[in-house]
Amino acid sequence: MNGPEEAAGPTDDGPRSVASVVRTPDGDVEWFTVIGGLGIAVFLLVGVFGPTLAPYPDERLVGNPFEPPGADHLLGTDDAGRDVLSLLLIGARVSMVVGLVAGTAAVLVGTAVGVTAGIVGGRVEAVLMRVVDVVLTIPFLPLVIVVAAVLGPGLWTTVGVLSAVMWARPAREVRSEVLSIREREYIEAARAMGASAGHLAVRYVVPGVLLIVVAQYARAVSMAVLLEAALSFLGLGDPTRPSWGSMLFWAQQRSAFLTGAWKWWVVPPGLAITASVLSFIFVTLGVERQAGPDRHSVATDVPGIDVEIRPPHGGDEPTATADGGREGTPGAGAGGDGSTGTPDDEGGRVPDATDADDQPRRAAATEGDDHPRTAAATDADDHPRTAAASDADDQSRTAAATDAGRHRRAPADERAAGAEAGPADADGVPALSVEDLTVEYGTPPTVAVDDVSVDLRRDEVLGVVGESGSGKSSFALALLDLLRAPGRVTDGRLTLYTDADDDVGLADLRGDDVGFVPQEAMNALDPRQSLLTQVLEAVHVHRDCDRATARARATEALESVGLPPESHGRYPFELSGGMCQRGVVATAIVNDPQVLVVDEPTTGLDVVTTVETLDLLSDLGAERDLSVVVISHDLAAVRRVADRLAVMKAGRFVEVGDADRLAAAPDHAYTRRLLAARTPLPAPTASSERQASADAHLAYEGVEKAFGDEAVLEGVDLSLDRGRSVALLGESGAGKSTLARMALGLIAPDAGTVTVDGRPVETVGRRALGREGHYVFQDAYSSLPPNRWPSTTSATPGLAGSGRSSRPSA
Amino acid sequence: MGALARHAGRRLLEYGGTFLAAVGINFLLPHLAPGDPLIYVIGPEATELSPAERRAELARYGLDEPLHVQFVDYLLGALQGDLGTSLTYGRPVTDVLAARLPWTLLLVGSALLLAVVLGTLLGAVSAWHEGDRTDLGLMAGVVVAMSAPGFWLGMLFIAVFAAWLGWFPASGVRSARGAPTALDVAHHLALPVAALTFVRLGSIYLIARNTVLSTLGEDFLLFSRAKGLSDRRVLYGHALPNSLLPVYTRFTLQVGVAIGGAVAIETVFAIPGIGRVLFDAALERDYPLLQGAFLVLTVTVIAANVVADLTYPLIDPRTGAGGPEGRP
Repeated sequence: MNGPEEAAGPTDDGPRSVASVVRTPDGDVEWFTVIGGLGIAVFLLVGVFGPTLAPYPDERLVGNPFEPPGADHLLGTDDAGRDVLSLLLIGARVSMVVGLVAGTAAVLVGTAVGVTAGIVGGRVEAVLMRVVDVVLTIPFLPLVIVVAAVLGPGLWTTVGVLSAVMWARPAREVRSEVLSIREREYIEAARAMGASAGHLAVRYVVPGVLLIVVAQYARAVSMAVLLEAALSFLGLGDPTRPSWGSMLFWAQQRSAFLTGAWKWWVVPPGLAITASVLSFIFVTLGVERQAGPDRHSVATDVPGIDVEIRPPHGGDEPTATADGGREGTPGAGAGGDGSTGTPDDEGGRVPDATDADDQPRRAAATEGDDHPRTAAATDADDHPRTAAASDADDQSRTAAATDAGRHRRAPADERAAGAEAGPADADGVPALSVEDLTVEYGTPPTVAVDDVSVDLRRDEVLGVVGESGSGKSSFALALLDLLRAPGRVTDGRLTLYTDADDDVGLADLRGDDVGFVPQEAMNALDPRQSLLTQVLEAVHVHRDCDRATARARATEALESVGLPPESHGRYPFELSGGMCQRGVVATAIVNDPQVLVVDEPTTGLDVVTTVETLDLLSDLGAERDLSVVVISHDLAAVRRVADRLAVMKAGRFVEVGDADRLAAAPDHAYTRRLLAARTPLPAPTASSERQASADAHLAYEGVEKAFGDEAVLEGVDLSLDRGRSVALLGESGAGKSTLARMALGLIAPDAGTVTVDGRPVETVGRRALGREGHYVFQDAYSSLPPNRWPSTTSATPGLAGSGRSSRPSA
Repeated sequence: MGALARHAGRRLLEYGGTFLAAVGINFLLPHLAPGDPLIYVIGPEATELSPAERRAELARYGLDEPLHVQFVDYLLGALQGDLGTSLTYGRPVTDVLAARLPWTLLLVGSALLLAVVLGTLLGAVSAWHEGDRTDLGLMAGVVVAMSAPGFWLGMLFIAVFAAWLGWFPASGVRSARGAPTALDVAHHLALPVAALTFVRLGSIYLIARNTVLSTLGEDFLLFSRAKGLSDRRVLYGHALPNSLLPVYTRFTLQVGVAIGGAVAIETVFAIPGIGRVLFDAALERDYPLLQGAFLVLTVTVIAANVVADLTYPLIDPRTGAGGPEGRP
């Protein structure tokens, strides 16, 4: 997701202090850890001082059997007349000793095994992990019972057996954490720079694993306490020491629950066990919540944009698409999806009616109705920014901002205002208009979209361009109320000119009147369902039609994006990225929306696919009378399809205007910079006639590599002389990056050799390679460790570096 | 398919290893334990034998052979279902266990099924409501249940629902009189199954909650919302199905723990299952029966894992292409 996360930059966690362990990343107190910690403190205190605190010494018969709780015996007595409270206090020690000792041993062994397996890898890892699997498969408690029964019960037998079976789980968890840290790009980047394994372990692996170890330790102790209780309950504990489990053993043997004594004899030891185990589990949960990845759940309800629905503008013709779609719906007339009639039926609602007397129908954008959102819908006129917005002198908001200001003030005037921008706007009929949209992220709030207003006219393609972090994706998501926490709309109103029911919210309009093509569309399909199923689902949600009709509609949509029939039934993993993207577009347009919002359609695509995708959008827009908003960082690419462009910088539109005019004569310096970003680079100055030296600095000979069954490189020969550059060009998946990574020994070829100065790359050593070759990672964002400042890693975020795999060394 | 074959091979190795380890433990323990290994075969009277009788007994059970020969004999015997003779029953261990195994399977199977269904659904609901009252309430309840020892919950259930309220029988698996009906058995097993379900629910719930929570951050769920799907449909139609795989994988790890937990529950409710046999055998020092019960429980866990492996493709359309490890 694009958004202020990029702008916010990585945060430096450094070594975690005790205080930070009980705090969430948001600064809230992690109550699970706090409550668990307090419980553990009590458990340890009782474990250490219990025998001292006990009112009656151990093993002394001090009363009558089955005495109910009273002044002499706060918790009554058991069948032998022993004081239950004293037994409880004394018995804590067995749980504590077994829990702490067995837990410590298990976690120490487990961590050692897990870290070894994760770092060493290869055969050692395979063997260790098979052993772990075996230990995990053997049923714990039966094994413990057998061992305890054969070796004879006793405290240290219990501790030994528990340690022997419990180390496997921590080993498994620690190893998978080590692996996931190893596979992160910033580790690869550090390896590429020549960092040693020891350095990596100390700098990155240990801090990352530490939290997991703490969580596993708490879990191991809780398991040990539970298992010890079960063993003692089965009569296999240490017979010489009272414990909570053995209290229950005697209660069970004497059928305590058939007498009234169970209330004071059975309940307290069980509660003691539960409370102790719970404390440790709470700590595990709290720590795991901290170690867990940042998630952007789609379920979190965030304040969205206010929506107003108005009948289509002008009333000259209802949009053909919407009507066409509804005609294809048998028997839908009276349903919620049915046409509510032409705009003329609701004459009072033509947009020329003043805002004042036509109470805007602010449908809640999400299902939640008692939302604070309504409060955010401040009246345009008393908005504090109004003055600034209409102030033409405001440096950061030039012509476009004033334009936007007028929209807000008097929507009826906007055609006149738009006329200034270009001839195409003169007859523009709005399909959608956004007023005062403000999107914020996190606490303290970072403004991603700052009081933006814009109109989308019918049948036009509006390009919204800006750099990463300019807020353009937040803008797109806010339009559909699809922002995920911590993002939220704090102000703004969306008017949609459509003939949908006026009491529906955005949730009902999404996928019906407004289609959305998300960023990185290859990840947008459900991996478990076939393409056709997913398109069909979109049809069924919005249309009450039989299977055959729905199928015909879905098939038509898939064909219209150029997907051949044999691909319709495939699963996403059987489709290429480009085909997935077409599938997503088909899903978005299957219900003939009036408005299509497309977020970054070109990210991650090579030039060929980018052009194809943009042409597809352009064709669809024309064929289906779509009004399209295209969000992109690539001004030059969007120019191909856009009628108008809105240039976004730091959450604001700095310039809005006709695409050709804006490209030819940009008003704003920022627009000029964006345009310049795609100007061809100056010709290289290095003389191309220089003699090739006899021995190549970097040479590939017959290099082959396959990932799984897919051959990526087949017999590649390439040599690079000292001081020269070679540009590797190719479509996504052509093998460019693989080839580049081989030069640094990050990937080993299946066949063939890669040599540096005549030596095979695998013998050179990564540290030396780090000096010889520098690799600028693509996706620089994930190449930086999240807990370090960029300056300490000195990785250079920049354009994708696949083409320059080596640079001259001194 | 190469990945699938490799995976199958790895699993086979793992199960073979587990079986060998269980047999190995059974075999080695008497040799590691203090005292006469003969005790572990024929019982305490081994100490009262004359030297000649002793030699005869040792030879009879092959205990005079070198260790590795003894191990191979023991392993071959175990593979053929010969686990020795029970000291308390005087019958072959296999016979004693065969009569008991169905009860354990019924108890553990029902409880695990309930725990998986309930745990997954509650986990999904909790994940959807992450951080709000529903989530915290569910989490607190479930975690408290998983912290309580199962046998203690069972004792409480007996005290409340059997002894006090009289709704359910306190022990056994069927009424003394009349032919056992399914309803009668269900009535008897209700409390033990409930106790076992409660303690097993927690870990499945936590896995499900975590998995659904991370699935909810996936791009395809954003898109399914963009398609206009209702919350319910996004959760149960897309998020939950895509989270089942990790839940299922981790579930197989649960089988062993659940069977272990059944030992204590069977003891509390006097259910004639393998767990109860294990307990009785431990008290009576009936070593052949004890070891046999342990081995049978281990094999049961392996069998459950094999079933899980075989049913894996049913819930993952990609197994054929990428192998079960295809997606982390």
